[in-house]
Amino acid sequence: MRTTEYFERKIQDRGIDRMWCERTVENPIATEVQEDGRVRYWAYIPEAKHYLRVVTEADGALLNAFFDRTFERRRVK
Amino acid sequence: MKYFYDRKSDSLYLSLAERREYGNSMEAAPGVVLDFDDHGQLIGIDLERASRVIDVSDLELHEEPSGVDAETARLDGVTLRQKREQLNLSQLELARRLSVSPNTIARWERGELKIEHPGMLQLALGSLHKTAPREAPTAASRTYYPDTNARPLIERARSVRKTTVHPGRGSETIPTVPRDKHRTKAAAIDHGREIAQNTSVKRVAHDRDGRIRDSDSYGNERHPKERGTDSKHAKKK
Repeated sequence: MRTTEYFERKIQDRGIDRMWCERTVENPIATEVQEDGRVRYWAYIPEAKHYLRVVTEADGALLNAFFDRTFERRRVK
Repeated sequence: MKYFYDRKSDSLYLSLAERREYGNSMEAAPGVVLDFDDHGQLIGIDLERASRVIDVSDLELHEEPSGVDAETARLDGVTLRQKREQLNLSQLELARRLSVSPNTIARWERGELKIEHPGMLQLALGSLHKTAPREAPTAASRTYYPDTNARPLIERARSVRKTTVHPGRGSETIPTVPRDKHRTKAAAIDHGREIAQNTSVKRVAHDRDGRIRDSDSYGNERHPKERGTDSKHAKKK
């Protein structure tokens, strides 16, 4: 998967495994397309016990990833 | 606070507490993500499409370049020290070559002073790589030839011998050591000036009794305080 410089830096800073991101994009439990064409993917990562959000460019390049507390709360509700 | 701006993806990250471990994130507003540590303390702000939120033109001077230049941007005190040691240069020598104070080099290496233009520094260090490896500085080189690249030139000039043919009386070979090769003092001074200009050192002309007649400086001349520091250093060794 293609990635951006920002993505590489952020997964390193946040301690997120690249495999988790790829897994999330390939098997998401939810997706959203933003107005600007970017796509959000969510999946639960048992190893981290968090929901991971991965944002990609419209062409599929990985752009950002973080453990999404907002999504967890949305799921609980 | 540090920030990282990736122009390609138009993403900006403001790091508020770099040493705290990341826990999770919350989207405070569309495209604005807040990072927290495990204790719920805010440690960073992530902005998607940052140019829509703030004026990123002001960030150009501070953005970290990507790709090959990223290595340059990450140049910190530790790597500076490693590169200096690879070049076999003391802090004092590196400071002289980069035209900064030795204290600046020391503070860069200790991380006490931010390297404002790491790209420029990297370029400067790269140019030092291209120069011939330096010999261990001697007292003579420190005193008279601040840039040791000048020494081979001067030593080569000394080693050249000049053969003069005297019609009917054979020939004689004389060494062209500057003080021996010139017929007049003016010619010797001119030659010395030429060498000094080419090698950016100080030219000092002495009278026969050893007293300094006159002198000119053509750059790289070291401050007397630095020379004093050196001599103390030499004594310690």
